[in-house]
Amino acid sequence: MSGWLDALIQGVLLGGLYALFAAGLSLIFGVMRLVNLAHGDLIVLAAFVILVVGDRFGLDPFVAVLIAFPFLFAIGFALQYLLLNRTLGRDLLPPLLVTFGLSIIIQNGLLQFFSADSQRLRSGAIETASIPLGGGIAIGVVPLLTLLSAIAVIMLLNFIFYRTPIGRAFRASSDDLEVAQLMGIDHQRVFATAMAITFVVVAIAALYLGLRANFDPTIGPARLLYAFEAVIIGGLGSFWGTLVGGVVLGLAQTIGARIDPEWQILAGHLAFLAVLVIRPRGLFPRALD
Amino acid sequence: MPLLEARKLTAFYGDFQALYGIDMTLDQGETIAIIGANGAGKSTFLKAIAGLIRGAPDSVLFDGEPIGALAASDIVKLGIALVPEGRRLFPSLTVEENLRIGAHGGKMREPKAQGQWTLDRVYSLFPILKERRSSAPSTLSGGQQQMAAIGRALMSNPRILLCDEISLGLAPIIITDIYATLPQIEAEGTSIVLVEQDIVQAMKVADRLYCFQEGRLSLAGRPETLTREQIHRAYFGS
Amino acid sequence: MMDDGEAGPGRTYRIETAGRLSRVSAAAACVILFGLALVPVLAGRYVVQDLIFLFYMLALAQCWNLLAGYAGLISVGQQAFVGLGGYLLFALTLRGEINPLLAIPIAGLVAAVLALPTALIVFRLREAYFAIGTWVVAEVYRLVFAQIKALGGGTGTSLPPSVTSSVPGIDWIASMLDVRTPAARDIASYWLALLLMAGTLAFVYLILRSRRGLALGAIRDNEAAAAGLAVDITSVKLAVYVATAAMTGMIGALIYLQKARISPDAAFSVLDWTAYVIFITVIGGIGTVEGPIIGAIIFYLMQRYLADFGAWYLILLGTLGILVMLFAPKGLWGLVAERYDLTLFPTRRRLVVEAEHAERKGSSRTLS
Ligand SMILES: Nc1ncnc2c1ncn2[C@@H]1O[C@H](COP(=O)(O)OP(=O)(O)OP(=O)(O)O)[C@@H](O)[C@H]1O
Ligand SMILES: [Mg+2]
Repeated sequence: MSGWLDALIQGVLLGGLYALFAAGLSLIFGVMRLVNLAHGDLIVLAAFVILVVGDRFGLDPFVAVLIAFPFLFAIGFALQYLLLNRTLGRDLLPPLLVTFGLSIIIQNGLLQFFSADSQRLRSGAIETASIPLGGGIAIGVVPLLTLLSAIAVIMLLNFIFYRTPIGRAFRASSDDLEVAQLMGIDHQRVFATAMAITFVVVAIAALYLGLRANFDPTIGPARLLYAFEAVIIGGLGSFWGTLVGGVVLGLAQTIGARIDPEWQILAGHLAFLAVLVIRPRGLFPRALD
Repeated sequence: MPLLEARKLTAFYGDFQALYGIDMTLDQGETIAIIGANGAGKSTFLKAIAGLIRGAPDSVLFDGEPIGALAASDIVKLGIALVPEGRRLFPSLTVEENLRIGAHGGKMREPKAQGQWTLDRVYSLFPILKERRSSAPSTLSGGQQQMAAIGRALMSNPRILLCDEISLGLAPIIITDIYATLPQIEAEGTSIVLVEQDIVQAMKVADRLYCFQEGRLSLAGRPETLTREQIHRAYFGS
Repeated sequence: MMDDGEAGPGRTYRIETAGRLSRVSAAAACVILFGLALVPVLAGRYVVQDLIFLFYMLALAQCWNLLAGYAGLISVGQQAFVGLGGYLLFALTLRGEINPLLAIPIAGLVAAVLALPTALIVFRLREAYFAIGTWVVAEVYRLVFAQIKALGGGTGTSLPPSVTSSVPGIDWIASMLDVRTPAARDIASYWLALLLMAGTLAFVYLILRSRRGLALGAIRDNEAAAAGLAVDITSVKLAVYVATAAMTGMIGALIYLQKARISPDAAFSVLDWTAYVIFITVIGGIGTVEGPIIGAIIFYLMQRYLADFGAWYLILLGTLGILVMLFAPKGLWGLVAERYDLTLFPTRRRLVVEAEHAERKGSSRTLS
C-alpha cells in the first residue's frame, strides 16, 4: 500500500519537472503559435551551460543558473529575432523544419564538445536530502523544489501574461497580429521577448533536469515529447492546465513504473494518447480559440 | 503644406493591383470622407496610409516627411491611428485592456500641444465603456464594440484618425450617437479620414469628399459643390 | 486572369495539369529504370549496396513528400512504419516461416491496417501538433517492440542466412551472374529496392494525377477553393496517410531484409527514417516529384563523402536544411524549375480562377 502511495507522491513531484519542461513550450505556442521541435535540446543545452558556468567559476548549480539567466535570455531573444521570426507565416513547414534542423545541430554540437558521456549537476548534500513523511515514505528535497519551482514559474508566467503590458502585447499579437501592429506593437520584438522568457524557464527546467538525473546530449527529443504531452493533456493556452498536464504525465509514468520498471515511459505516452481520445482539446482548454 | 498627402499611391495584393495612383491631401483640422462601392479600394487605401501595406517612401507624406515605407507599428507612433474595418477588438483582452493597449505605441510620442487622450477621457467620451470595462469584447453590442475600437485608436493620441466604416451594421440611432462624438475628437486637433458606405452620413460631417471606383479616384470635391448625378456616376460608374 | 464575361456568383475554379513533356519524361524514366536494372550485371557489390540505400531513401522521401508536400500532413513519425515493416518482416519470417518475398507485402498491409487507429488519434491534433503526435506514436511502437522478447526485446535480433537466402531467385542469380550467395542476395535486394522505388514513384505520381489527388494539392494551395471542389478533405488525407503507411511499411520490410539485423532503437530511429528523409525532400524541393530525386542524390553523395565527419556532418546537414528552408523554400529543384519553367512530372496543378466576384460592380477584365 505505501508503495503505491509513494508512487503517487513521486508522480506528482515528477510532474513538476515535466511542467517546467512544458511551460516554455506553452508560452511560445500561446504567443506565436510556434511549435519548437528543438525545445528539448534547448533544455539539455541549458543544462550544459549551467554545468560549464558552475565548473568554470566553481559555483553551485543554483548560483550558476542565475548567472546563466541573462545569457540564455539574450540567446533566446537573438534566436527568435534573427532566425525563427523569418519562419513564421501562413505555411507551417518552415518553423517545423528550421527547429528540427536546430535540434539536430544542438544535439550534435553538444556531442562534439562534450562527448556522449553522462553528466550531472552537483550541489552537495541537498541532492540526497529528503523529508521523511513516516510510513517509509520520504520526499526528496530536490523533487520538492522542482514542483515548487514549477508552481512559481506557472504563477509568474500567468502574471506576466495577464497582468503586464508585455503580456497584453503577447495576447494581442496572438489574437490579431495585424491589428497588434496598428497598436504600435513591434511583433518581431514581442516574439523575441517571449522566446527570451522561454529561455529563462528552460534554464530553470535544465537546473532540475541536471540535479535529478544524469543527462547527455541525446536526451533532448524525449524531453520535447514529455513537454508536448503535458501541454496537450492540460489543454492549449492554459498555464495551469500545463501544470496539471505535467502532473498527469508524471503520475502515469510512476504508476507504470510501479507495475513494471520498463513500462514507465510507455505508460506516459499511453496516458497521453488516452487523453487525446477522450478529451481531444485537453483537460482545461481555453474557451477562446 | 497639408498634414497628410498621398502621391500616386498604388497598392498590390500579390499580383493583384488594388489601387492605381491615388492623390489625396488632408489638412490640419480637416475631416474628409472616402466613399465608393464594395471592393473600390477604400480599406486598402487606409491600410496603405497606416503602414499595413507598404509602398514607396514618398507615396505618403506626413508633415512633409515620407512615411510610405514605414511599418505600421512606427506609423502609429508618429500619430496616425486606424480604426479597422469590422472593429477587430482583441478577443482575449478585456475592454479596458483593449483601450490600454492602444497607448502601447502612443505613449512613446512626444506630448503635443493638443489635449492628451487618457483612459478617463475615453471613458467620458463613451461612458458605457467604463461600465463594461472588465467585460470580454465579444459580450459587447456592435455599437459598444465600435466605441471601444475608436477609443482604442484614440489612446495613441493620434493627429490623424483613420476610420473604416464605423457605421457598418449598426442601427441608425447608434450611428448617430457615434457620429456625435466626432466633433469632440476634432476639437482636440485631430484630423479625420472617414471611409463610409453611408453617403448621407459622410456628406454631413466631411469638409471634402473623395470617391473611389475600382482602385481609382473618380471624384473629389466639397460636398456642397457636388451634384447627386456627379456622385452617382463616380460611385457606380457610367 | 481569365476573361469571363458571364460570370456566375462567386468564383469558380478549374484545375489544369499535364503537358507534352510528361510523355517524353515517362519514356525517359523507362529507359533509366531499365538501365538501373542492368547495373548489377555490370557493377560491383559496393555500387549495388550504395544504390540500394539510395533507392530506399528515395522511396521513403517520396512517401513523406506525398504526405507533407501535398496532403499537408507534416509527420515526424514515419519511422513508426519503417520499424513496423521491419519488425513484421522478422516476425513473419522467423516466427511464421513465411517467405520474405511474401512477407514484404503482408508487412505493408498490416502497416496500413495499424495506420487506421493511429490516424484516428493523431488526426485529432492540428498542424504542428500533428507532427509531434506522430512522433509520440512512433515512440509507442518502439517501446512496445522493445517489450517483445520473442523478437529480441530491447537488443533486437538477426535474420539467419537461411531466411535471407530464401528469397526466390537468389540461386538463379548466383548461377547466372556467377557470384557468391551473399552477393546474389544483394542483387535480389537491389532489384526489389528498384522495384519498390519505381513503384512508389509511380504510385505517388498516379495519386497526384488522380482527381482527388489534384484536389488535395489544389486545396493546400488555395483554401478558398475547398468549397468549390466539394471533396471531403479529411477522408482524402486519411487515405493518403494509410497508403503512405503501407508503402513505408513495405520499404521498411525491405530495408531490414537487407540489413538482416533489427533493434528497436535502429528500426524506429527518428534521425534515420524521418530526419534524413525530410532533409532529402526539402533540399530537393518539397511538393514536386522531381525534388526528392535530386535531394536523394545529394544526400547520397554527402553521406558517402562526409559521413565520416560524424557530428560535424550532421551539423552541416541541419544547417543546410535550415538555409534551404529560409532562402530557397522550394528547394533546389524549385530554383531550377522556376528559372527554366520546367516540369518533368507535371502534377503541380494550376488552380485557374475562372470568374472573379461577379456581384462586385467592376468586372475584373478592366483590371487585368
Ligand atoms: N487581403 C487581400 N488579398 C487579396 N485581395 C484583396 C485583399 N483585400 C482586399 N482585396 C481586394 O482588393 C480590392 C479592394 O478591396 P478593399 O477591401 O480595399 O475594398 P473596399 O473599398 O474597402 O470594399 P468594402 O466596401 O467591401 O470594404 C478588392 O477587389 C478586394 O477583393
Ligand atoms: Mg473596406
